[in-house]
Amino acid sequence: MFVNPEVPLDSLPGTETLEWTPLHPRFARRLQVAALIRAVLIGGGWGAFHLRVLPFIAERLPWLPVFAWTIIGAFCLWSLAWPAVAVPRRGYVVREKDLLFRSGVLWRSVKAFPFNRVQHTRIDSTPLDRRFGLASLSLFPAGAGAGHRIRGLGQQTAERLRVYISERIEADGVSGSRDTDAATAPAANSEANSEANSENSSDAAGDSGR
Amino acid sequence: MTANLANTSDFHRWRRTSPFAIVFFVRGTIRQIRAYGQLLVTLGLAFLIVRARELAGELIPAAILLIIVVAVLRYWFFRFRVTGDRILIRQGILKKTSLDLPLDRIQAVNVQRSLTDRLLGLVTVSVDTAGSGAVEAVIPSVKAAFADRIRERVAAARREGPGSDADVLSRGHAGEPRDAKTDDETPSAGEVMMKLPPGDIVRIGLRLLGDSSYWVLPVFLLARDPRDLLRYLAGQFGFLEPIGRDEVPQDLVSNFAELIFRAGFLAALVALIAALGIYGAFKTWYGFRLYRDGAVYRTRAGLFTQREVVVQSVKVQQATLSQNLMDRCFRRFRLTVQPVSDDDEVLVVPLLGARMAEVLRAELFGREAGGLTLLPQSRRIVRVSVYFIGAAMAKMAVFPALALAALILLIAGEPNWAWAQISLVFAGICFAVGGVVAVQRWRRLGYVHDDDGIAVRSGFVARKVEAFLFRKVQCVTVNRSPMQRLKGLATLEMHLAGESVAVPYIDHRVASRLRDYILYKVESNARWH
Repeated sequence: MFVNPEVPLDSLPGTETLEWTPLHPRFARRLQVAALIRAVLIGGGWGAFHLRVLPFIAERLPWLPVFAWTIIGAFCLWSLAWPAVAVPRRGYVVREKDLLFRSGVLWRSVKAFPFNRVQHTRIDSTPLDRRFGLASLSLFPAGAGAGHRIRGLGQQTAERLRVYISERIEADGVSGSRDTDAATAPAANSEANSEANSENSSDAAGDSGR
Repeated sequence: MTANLANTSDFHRWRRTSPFAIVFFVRGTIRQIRAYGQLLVTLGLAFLIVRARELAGELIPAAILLIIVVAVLRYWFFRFRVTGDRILIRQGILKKTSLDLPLDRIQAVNVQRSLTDRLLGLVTVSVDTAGSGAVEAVIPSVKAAFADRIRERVAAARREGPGSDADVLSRGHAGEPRDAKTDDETPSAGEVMMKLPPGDIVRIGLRLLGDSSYWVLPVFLLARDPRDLLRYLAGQFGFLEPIGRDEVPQDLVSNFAELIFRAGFLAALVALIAALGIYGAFKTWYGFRLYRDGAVYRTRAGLFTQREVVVQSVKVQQATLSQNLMDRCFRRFRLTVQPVSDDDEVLVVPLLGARMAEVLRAELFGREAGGLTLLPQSRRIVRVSVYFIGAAMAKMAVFPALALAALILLIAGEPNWAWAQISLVFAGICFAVGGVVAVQRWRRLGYVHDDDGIAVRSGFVARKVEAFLFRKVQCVTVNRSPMQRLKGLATLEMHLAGESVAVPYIDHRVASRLRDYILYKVESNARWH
């Protein structure tokens, strides 16, 4: 029999008192290294242009060199400094039924992914990520395009989260999910995590805090 | 020839469709060419007609022959096979693709009948799977009963598969096993809920006037003299001697005659758009019927190509009622019902009254969401915070004004009086336009929700109301800009399978509570498709 009791709005769990788990402490550094590499590439490219091509068109565009170097410099400085500000603002909370992700310094957002709407998950890491021991976890709800990518998790945290979420999907899968990708994923590591669900979020916090 | 015409009794071997599918592939090839370079093809044709008439006699037949050859090849390499649990399709001339669609993943089986199809009693079946970027399978020119067979098999596969809504499905589909009818024109489709008389189809055609009112009037006002434009175009294409703008004959320039001429030109333009719209409306919507068959809704319409769209009410994600300027004059609406599938297969009721809209809303959402409304004029819809206007103005006016000022400064080299004047005038225009747009958009924005769902109104000149059930939500976001944080406001964004709907500038506490409530609803109800 289908029961649907009324729920008083104030009794719903809110997000005001949550302890946000920060991303991996090395993530800001990783972004800065990427920014540095990018800065060197852009600077080198424009420097070559400056030396090779610019002399021929300099009379017609006298303002171009100053303008371009200002923009490039500002962009590089910005992308070097910004991760140190933005990354601490990002964080996530794993609850029993959903995962919350917050981000943004000026424009802030809190995104909520209910587990029984997640179709499948994916972990990926670039070579640079792996050097820093990081990984990205993507959650794919139905039809939401590229899904949502949480960058800057520790590799173990990401793996643990993936297993946990896959398990939640499977738990709901009896009724909700027909997705075989999601259903087959957690089969390998199911025994270790079957009773450790509630501890997982605190484990994850420990992992990224080291 | 009829020997290999989709013989529906044998499902299991690889088959070709009927040779009449070549017509379908010809159209497909042309559509593909158009998609790759519409502009290029148009320009090429124009060039051919204007500059290289002598070559046209050879090039055009050659192109047509090429298209037909490609179509025949594509027909020849197109094979399909239906097994117990999946549909397999192999196609492609050079790039071979093979599609493998498990029957229990199929969301919708839709049917389309082109003019040739209808003469021969054939249909084109398109099979839809869930999610975005889905591979869609199209099987052209098979017998009408074939679509029904596939539908039955899909329903059967879902019943056996792990699905909680199988019972709902079976009520819709396989509850009444349909015989393969010999009379293809009227396969049983359920009870007719709605028809469109020709008068209504004319009204649909006039919608185009409402949609094009945005650009017709500005273009008309900006063109100094419409004759200039015509002569200019004619000159460019070599039909007339090219003329300069100053050489316009001065015989009609008395103001009154000018006015009459302009009015006549505008009337002709309006009449042309109306005629185009009405032709299009008849082509698409002639003989429109909305059927209900248990929990399954289907529409059929079309003058030459008859299209059938089937939507099960369990799969409905969102219902959108929109009304543009023209509709407002007629006091009618347009309803779009979005299932879990690609954009092509939305169910559209092109013209309906307020009462029918509410009836359909109630039926589509079942017993849930009785407190919602789809009608944009409803008094239950709550407006969002007035601060929206300021923010929207900032977006539309402040940033462009600053950007232009900076750009001019860059070119001028140093701040001077001319720079200040231009920037100020431009800023003034930006603020005037941005302000009007912002106020108008704010007037449209609003939402109403009950325990099961929410309806969000938005728009600028036209208006629309998007309604959906909370349990269809895939993920929720609460966004706050600096200004919203200052004023205790937030934007609630709800992502469905396919689209996302935002309610901007509502109280932060309301937004958070709605978010928490949606999460609760999502969690307590796993059914969303």
